[in-house]
Amino acid sequence: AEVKISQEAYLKPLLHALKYPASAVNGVLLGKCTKKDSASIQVEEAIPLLHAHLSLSPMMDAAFCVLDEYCQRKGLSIVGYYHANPTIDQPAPSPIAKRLADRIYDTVRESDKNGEVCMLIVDNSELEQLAQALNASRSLDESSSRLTGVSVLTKSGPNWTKSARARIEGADDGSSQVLLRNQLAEGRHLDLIDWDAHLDDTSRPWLPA
Amino acid sequence: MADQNLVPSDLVELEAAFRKSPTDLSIQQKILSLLRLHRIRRPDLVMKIGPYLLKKGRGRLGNSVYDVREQILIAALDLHRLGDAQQELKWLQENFPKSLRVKGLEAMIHEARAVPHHTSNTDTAAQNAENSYRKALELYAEILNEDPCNGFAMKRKVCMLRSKGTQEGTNEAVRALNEYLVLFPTDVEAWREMADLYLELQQVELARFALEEVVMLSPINYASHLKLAEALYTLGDFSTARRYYSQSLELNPDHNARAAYGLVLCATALQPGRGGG
Repeated sequence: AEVKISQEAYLKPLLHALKYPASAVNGVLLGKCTKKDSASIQVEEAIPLLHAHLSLSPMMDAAFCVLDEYCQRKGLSIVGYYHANPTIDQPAPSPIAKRLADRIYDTVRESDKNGEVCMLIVDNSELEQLAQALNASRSLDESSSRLTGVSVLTKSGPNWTKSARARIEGADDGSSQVLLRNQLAEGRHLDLIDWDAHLDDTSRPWLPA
Repeated sequence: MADQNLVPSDLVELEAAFRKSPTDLSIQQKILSLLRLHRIRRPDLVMKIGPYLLKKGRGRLGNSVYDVREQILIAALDLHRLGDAQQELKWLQENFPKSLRVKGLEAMIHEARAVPHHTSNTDTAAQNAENSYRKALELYAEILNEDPCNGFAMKRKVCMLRSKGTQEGTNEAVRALNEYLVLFPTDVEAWREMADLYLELQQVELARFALEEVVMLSPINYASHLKLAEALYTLGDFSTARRYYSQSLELNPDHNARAAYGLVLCATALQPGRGGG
């Protein structure tokens, strides 16, 4: 399946991970899945979920209940899962990431036999290289702009493998990466409210209006 | 000092005040005290404030200058600013040459060096990282030699094993933490960490045992009952989960969204015809 990721869906997971650099974080990817000649997934939004105890299920269940209504309202479906690990050498995707991504895949397939799902994993060591490149100059040169800091995986059989047909909006010329750096400099990652943060204080808005 | 009365929620106000008057030393001092008192992890703030406060506010710090230097050292490590950390270590070593606490900080710096930067030459980087890792373990062993009940050194070993990021690493961290808990069975934070480790290994049943210890050690903390309820729910034991969610709500009925959601989910799962436990 071909995967197209909007700029926002690229930035959000990274901002989320960088707000909680010592924890694993995860979230859901929303968008549309079309099956004209070949399957194609359009990821439009990334919804941040948890930054603690990712293997406990009740708050995930609760999040999906709330998301159901949001998806219906906006005409979006669940098309993927994102995950970031806290340690730089952790093999990606971790067992927890795989399990949660599989759960989402199974849930999507329940209502749509041909549904497709993708997984976006933050690649910490590539992110580090990207950070070095971004700190060194205002914009990225051609070799550096292939660095995105994320890997996009799709499911083939029981395994998740790197997608050869994944494109991130604005990444080819490095403009999305530069935007990431600018948003970090402004501290925008600190303003991000995930499901966990919303549960701690429900006056904090979680979903976009 | 009034600083002892600061609560975590004061941080939002203080940060805003700091942004408005970034050179106000009393605000800076309050922020650092609050972060130390409640062990809040904000290395960005510490590095913005700490060095400046040391330069311009040495007089008003008095004895807390030692705490501030340690705070800066640790924050620098968090941001991988090893040079800044090394600087603080040097000062602390000169003033407290025989201190085990300072030795522990030295070991932490080696821990931070034990992460190879993927951008440098891979072979020498990997070798240096290995050496630093070993040096950190050596220093902790030296500390434990002098003080066999040094909780700090024992806990750092657990952290080192956990940060390997592998199943084996986390399993070894569990073993090391068990050794610590034999000596300090009432350390509720350690039991929380144990639960965290088991959850990382996706062994929810074992996490539940650890969380039960946490509830026993902190029975009026609404969050303990809440976490145990979440583990029980994950294991499919909805009726027991519901009891702990209810207990959590009784202890904290006003700002407890998780327990409220949890209660609804359990009640739904327990409805006849749903196959709930």
